[in-house]
Amino acid sequence: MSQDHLAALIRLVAQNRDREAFASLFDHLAPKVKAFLIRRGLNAAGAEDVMQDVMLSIWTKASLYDAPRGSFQAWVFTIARNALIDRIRRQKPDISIDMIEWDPVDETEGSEERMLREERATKLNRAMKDIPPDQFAILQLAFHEELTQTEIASKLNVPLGTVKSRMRLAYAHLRGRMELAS
Amino acid sequence: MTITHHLDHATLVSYAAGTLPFGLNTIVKAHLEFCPACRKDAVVANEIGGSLLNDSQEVEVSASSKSAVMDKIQTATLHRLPLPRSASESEVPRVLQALIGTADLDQLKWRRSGPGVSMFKLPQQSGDAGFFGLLRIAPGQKVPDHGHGGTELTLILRGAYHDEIGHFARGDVADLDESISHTPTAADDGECICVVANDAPTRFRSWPARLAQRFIGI
Repeated sequence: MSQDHLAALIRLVAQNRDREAFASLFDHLAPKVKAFLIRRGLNAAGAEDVMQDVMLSIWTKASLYDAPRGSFQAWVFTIARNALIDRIRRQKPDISIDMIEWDPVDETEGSEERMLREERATKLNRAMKDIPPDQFAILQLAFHEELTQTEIASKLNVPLGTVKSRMRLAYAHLRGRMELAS
Repeated sequence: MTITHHLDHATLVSYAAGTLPFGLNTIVKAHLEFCPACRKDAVVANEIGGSLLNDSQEVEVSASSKSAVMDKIQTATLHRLPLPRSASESEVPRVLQALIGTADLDQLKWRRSGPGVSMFKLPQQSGDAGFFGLLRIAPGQKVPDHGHGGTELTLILRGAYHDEIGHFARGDVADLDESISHTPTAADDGECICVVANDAPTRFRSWPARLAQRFIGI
């Protein structure tokens, strides 16, 4: 499903409380979210449970999706990660999404800007396929295996500085490609 | 507030992944309250997480899950957009106020930890190594030359200091790793208060400082 299509569905949910649109989102997202939660250490039953919480949050928070000025997939990731932190560490997981508290929402943003955000996500997904394997591996260890920089360094047997510099390079490369005019 | 020292993008990647230890994570959040530029950078780091989630393999979902969720949405309370908060008028970011229980740094029970330096330790989470707390450095006072075992974040809340890297004033963050050793010195015209977190013990260069370290617990 394209990023534009997903964004259109979430807007139907936000504006009309469209259950059919939500059901399509469920079919597309639930298996990915469950897989993500299992990779981050939950067992199948726990992942099923947290996945339900994540999907429910997508319904109840649909009108907030525009606020962090990111793409739909990044918003879903934030919800999934926060639900996971909440479950595992019992810690108030108010990272990232709470940034909307500091930056007033631009109510005048038109559909063109919104499409631009989803276009950036599409470019990012493409760019992810051609970053060097050593950089991609580090991103996976952080986002999927939930390892700290120090843990990644000892797992790969490289200095901490190498982990940081690969993260920086990956970030710079991906951001560059995202922001490249089409 | 003009911010000239920002978070390392590698730190923001780990922040987005949700893998920073508690102290470092808190300082990132505190700096983000001050710094619109780093908030933009953090959004990009989040996008990386979104892309990796999108690319995830899929695991079959149980048939009852969908009907359970479709049932729950009938009665679930919807969230509304929170009103944007005005920038904090206090010198203490909100995430820190919640930890120390006050917006007034002068109300804290500071503990002297060396000549011209006092400390207020903050709660760590179990399993986290390293130091997390506030440091209060008298005008012109030097903190002994030290390096770091891992990552160290320092956010300036009051006053300023300078070291081998540059001049750090209110809102600036020093995001240092094990390759950096420095001797921060508070500005002459006022005390400097900063919040510091690291994920491995600080390494002082001189033996008197190392000896003192045993007693002050930094």
